[in-house]
Amino acid sequence: MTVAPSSGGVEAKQIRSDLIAALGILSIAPTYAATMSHYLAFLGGFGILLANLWGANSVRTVAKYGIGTGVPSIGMLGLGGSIIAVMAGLYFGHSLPLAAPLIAFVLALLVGFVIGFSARYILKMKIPVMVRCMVEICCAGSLLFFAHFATITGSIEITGVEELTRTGIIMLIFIIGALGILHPYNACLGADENQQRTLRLALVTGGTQFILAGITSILFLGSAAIITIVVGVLAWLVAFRAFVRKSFEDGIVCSTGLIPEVETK
Amino acid sequence: MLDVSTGLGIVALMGAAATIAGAAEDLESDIGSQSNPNSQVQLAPQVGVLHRIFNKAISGEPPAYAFYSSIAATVAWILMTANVNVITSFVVGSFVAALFHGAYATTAYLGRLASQRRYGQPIYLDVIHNHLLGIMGHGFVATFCILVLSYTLWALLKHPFPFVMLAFIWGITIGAIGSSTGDVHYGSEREFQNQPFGAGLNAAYSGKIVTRAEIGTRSSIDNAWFCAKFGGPATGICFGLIIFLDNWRTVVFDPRMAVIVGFAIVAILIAINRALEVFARKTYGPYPEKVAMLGGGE
Amino acid sequence: MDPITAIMGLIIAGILIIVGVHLIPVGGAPAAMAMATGVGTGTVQLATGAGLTGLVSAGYMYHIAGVPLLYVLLSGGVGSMLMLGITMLVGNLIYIFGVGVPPVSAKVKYDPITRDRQDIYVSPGTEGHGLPTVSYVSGILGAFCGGVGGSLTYVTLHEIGLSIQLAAAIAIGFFLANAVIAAYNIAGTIEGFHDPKFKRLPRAIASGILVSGVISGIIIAAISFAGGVV
Repeated sequence: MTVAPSSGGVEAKQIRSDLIAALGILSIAPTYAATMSHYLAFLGGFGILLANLWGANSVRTVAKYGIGTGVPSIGMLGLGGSIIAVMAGLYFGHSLPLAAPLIAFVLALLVGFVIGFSARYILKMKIPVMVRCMVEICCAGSLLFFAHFATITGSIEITGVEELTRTGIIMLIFIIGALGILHPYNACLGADENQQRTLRLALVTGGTQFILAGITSILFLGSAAIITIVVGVLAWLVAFRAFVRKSFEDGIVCSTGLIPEVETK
Repeated sequence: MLDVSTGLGIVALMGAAATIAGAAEDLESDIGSQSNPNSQVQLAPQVGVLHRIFNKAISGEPPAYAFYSSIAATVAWILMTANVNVITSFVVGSFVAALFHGAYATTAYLGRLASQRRYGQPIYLDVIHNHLLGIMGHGFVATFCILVLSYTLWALLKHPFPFVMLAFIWGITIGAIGSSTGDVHYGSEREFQNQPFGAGLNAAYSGKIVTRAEIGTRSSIDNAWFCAKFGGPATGICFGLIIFLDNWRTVVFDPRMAVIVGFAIVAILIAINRALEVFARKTYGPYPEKVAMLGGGE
Repeated sequence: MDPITAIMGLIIAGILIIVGVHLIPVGGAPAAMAMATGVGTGTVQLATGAGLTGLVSAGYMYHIAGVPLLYVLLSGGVGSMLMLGITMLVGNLIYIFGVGVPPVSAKVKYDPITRDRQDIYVSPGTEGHGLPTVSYVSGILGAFCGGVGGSLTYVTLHEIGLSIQLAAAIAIGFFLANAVIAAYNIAGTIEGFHDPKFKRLPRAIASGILVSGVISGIIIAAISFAGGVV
């Protein structure tokens, strides 16, 4: 079986980064909504989806320049910076819980800026978008944390977060968030990577986090967690189908076969 | 503080769990080609070598195993707080983690190969069917043992860090170890099985991985058979030794002696490494063509 | 603990972590195919594995044994050294018996520590393989620095009033931030202190001081604002 030359070399229309950033910042709205009632906690899951989408797109933007150490590090770095901003934001806002996400966002901006600035100007990494993307990743990470807090505990107050920390579940949020933003680009790495497929995978990883947040919320919300899990599974299924369909369109799919002969150049 | 004999028994249990976890982790990352040797699988289509290997690119192994371990630990924790039996909680937790593992592995394979269309690399659906359960199964075993290890450390040795955090930390550690030791066996010996034994990989052969097996095409599932002869058990012994030695010295000795014993063990390790290096240099000898080119002599 | 000491402690910890990451020999993807000297994994991944093992040891010592600070830090360093030492040793076992190559570096003609000839043992077409003594010792030192740095972060954060679990979580985040900055400076692979890339260390330390300073400033300010533990 000889393989036809690849088609579809035209780059599909890119969704603007600013639009995705705006969507990411909008994730604060469902996060706030989720704190209003235990039965509305599933709305925080949509906050998770949006914040994750923003983070994954930023990782994609910066990684396309080739960051040398690989994509996983930047995901872990982003969430590492975010967790500090989030904790500081919660402490600064302990008397005014609704302000905590905003304070954390500003602190994440600062942390991301400092890290991006160091990488670009002190370490002299030749990536023009480094500062902007580092800021975006840290800010997306901070919003992702708060969306998780709202979905899992039903509130964004420090008491809920302290319980999450006491049980160590904060590390679960850290790693599913980190993998959520780094997996989409890392898994689609290659010559024919396109934004459409990568962002669909970002929605899949967001859906995974939605389900996991739902399972974890059993500890805090009891039976109301079922709603979150069900909605999460639905969101994941929709996103997964979309991703698989796009992969089948983009790739050469066969159910089985021997290795094709490549036309020697 | 525990008395020494109970402490030693606990440490031995932890060491055993760690050994199994290490071996399973390495074999899992060989069935689903992950982390560093996967760079060659990724490169292969670009140099014209199409393959039927499971290109599983879920970040590196440390974050991936931290991911599965944290999920398993959280689910197990939820069940334990509901007074479910500990072992049952671990089984259910590891099973849930294996499900997510399978989902991520599938998306990685589809994503990476769809991005290699221009080289003509097909996405084989039967590769997914054949390998997914093997990947999930090995991941299940590794995750279960990490949970046993973390729980023993937390509940019996009364470590101050929470259970889920300990599982996270051991997930990262086991990933780092598996990636450093067993993956070398897979990367240099199995992926390039047609290259002669006794040399590193010449850069000219980059990407030219073995794609045809004894009969038919090379399938990743057979990598477990090969690497279980050396790479897998070596990784297991490595992780088991680390857990055992680190906890043995804190259980048996008082804090001051524990630190001194630790330094002593490190000194012994340096000596063993030196002995191994000398052995290898003497047994293998220099390359004659290099001696001729660069001038001989020690 | 007063804020200034805490910030100094965190900055020193950050510098130690960065120095540690520069010392650990990492060969990246090529090393996994015996094409480069060093451990066959990623810089951040290995350093984090070692540092977190040290953190676990230090956490145990700090709370269970009630020992002075020095032993806690040393214990963290020892835990980290043991993890990396055994990993590198088993790695070398695989290179020697599994791949069939002696551990050598291609960056120097003679090993700085053992004075062994290196270049004639390097496989053609590779940049060295395995972990020669200089890389091994460099790795041990690096693991020690990383372990002490991680433990110092944790102890400092706990002393200023954070709970055990929160201090550990933030210590992990702090460790990762510094390790990744060091990894960006190294740009992929480094063989140890004999590698020419090691001369880039001052830039990373400058970055580390800036980043650690800002991060520790934020944390201390937040805790002081909230009046200690909430």
